[in-house]
Amino acid sequence: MADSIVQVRELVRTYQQGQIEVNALRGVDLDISTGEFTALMGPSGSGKTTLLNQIGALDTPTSGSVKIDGQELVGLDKVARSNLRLNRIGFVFQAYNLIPVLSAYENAEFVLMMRGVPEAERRDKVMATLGAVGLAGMEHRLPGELSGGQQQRVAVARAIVGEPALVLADEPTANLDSKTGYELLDLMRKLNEDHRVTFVFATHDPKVMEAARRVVTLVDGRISEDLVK
Amino acid sequence: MASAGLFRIAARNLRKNLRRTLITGTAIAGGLALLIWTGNLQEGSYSSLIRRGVSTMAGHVVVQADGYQAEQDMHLLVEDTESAESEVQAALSAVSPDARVASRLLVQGLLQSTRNTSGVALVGVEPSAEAKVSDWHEKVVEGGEWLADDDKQGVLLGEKLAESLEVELGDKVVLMVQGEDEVVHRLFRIRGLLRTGVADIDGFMALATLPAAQAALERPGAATMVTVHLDDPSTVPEVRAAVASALKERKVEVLPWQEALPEMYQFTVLDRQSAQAMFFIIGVIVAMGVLNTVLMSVMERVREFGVMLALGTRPSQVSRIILYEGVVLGFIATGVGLALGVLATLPGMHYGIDFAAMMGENVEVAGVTMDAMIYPQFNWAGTLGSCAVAWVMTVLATLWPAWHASRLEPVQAMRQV
Repeated sequence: MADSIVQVRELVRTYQQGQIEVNALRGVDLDISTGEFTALMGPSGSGKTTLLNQIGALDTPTSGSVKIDGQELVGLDKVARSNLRLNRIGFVFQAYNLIPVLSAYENAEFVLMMRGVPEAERRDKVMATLGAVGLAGMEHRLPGELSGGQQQRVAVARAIVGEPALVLADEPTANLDSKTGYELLDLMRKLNEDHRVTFVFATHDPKVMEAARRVVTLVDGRISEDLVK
Repeated sequence: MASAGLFRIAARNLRKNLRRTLITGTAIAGGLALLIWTGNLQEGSYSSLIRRGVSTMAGHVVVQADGYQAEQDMHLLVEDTESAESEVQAALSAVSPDARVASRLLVQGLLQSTRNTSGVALVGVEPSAEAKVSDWHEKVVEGGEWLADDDKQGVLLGEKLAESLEVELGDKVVLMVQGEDEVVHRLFRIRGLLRTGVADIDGFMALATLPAAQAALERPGAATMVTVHLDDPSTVPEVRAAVASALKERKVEVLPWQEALPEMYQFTVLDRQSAQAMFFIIGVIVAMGVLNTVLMSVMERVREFGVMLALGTRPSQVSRIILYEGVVLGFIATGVGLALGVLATLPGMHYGIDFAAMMGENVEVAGVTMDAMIYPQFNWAGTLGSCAVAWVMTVLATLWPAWHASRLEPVQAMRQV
């Protein structure tokens, strides 16, 4: 597939939950191309979050292969996976998950700072990104001083400021009201269209499924449907 | 650059939980201040003890007949004391011109009154020189008088000794001493009574002039010891070397006070060691408190650390945040503890601390009377050492929580409520 940024082959993830063995993924094959706006949907326990975690190098599979931009994730050690996440992948989580003692600016620049980007360059990128997500003028506010929607915008800014290969968003609208959820989706869609940022969502939210141009449905750890609109 | 960011997170976390930070910091600072104050008080008490013991029982440097320290035989004497003193003075002029020299002769015998007889340790002194090196002259009970240099018959008795002999000021007593070949008798008149508060001294000791004691032992010109008294005890090794060199032709041993008064020296060493052990235990207890607090703080931030790890922060970098918190907290608390310890020491240094209510007016330690009024003294090596240990233990207390944080798996950590 042209410009394939994510390649998943025969991915299996099994883990123990007490006495029970849970087959979260049962041999998943998936390709995602640059610039896609893809939703992974399915009921609870379908494996969508597990699949997202595998793609994001947050978890290791029981068997199978995951490649990000040609880089095989299986077999990488902890440090190598950390470096991959830092340099290639952006994350937006359901519960915003900002660092509470850092301001909006400092949260957004966190990834760039951990990469060692010089301050002047960081400043330019972060200010531009905060402006792009509609938070100009709020750089100095702490997370506790921002609304839910504003916090999630900071999280989006943090995810994209480092120009990652792709952004993984796990239920990003779940904690937001409808209006704010739509606003956030519009923002991410604009980023996708204007800057070709690749987005992959794990979601229940019909709004997200509606906005996505590709919807991959998982049931019981397998892809049951892959619909390109 | 990443380090600066991690440090910023650490510093802000300390500020965010200000109450917890203050409580933990106060425990560290308070514990350290107490250790510093106690250490300085101890130093002051050692100083007083050594000063007393050295001045009354020996000197900072002591010249004795070869073998005297081991055998304690009263007939082993330094001959021709006057020229020995001159040679010592000449040696001192180069290394410690302000040093003072005094000779003493220790004679054991029996003291007899008309009513009773008692064992006695008679010390022959040079009254003028002795008054410059010790405080015996201040121990004379009211009504009596200090000895004159040319007094060949005067004696000062310990108060309890006088009681047991049933004698008073002005009475006569006879000293009986085993001389070289025969028992020698010598008559003395009581010029005064001594009160030191130490039972052994007040009950068995007497002071006479050096010539009178030499006559009693039939050893003119001899002394048990020629003692050197210094203003700066740290110069003992240098002074000892100079005196030993000056007297190398004589059959003498030249000892520092630590060897001349081994019991007193050992007491200070053992007391210091047991105090250090106690300080260490206190340090461990405080460190356990810090560990508990830091561990709680880490547990509360598991989700936050999970997010950092998910974003690509390395496990070692997450550990560093916690270590930085320990470094900063330890640094500030140590600084405050040092300041408090120093401030607590200063008034005592000036006014003294009176332990009479607890200890009585005089306390006997290793055969020496100590004043109940103790003046703390700075022991900078000990103080700075305590600070270093406090800081190190604070940082060490963060190691396990830091390791724990580095072991977090991002997915599980982010699920934490």
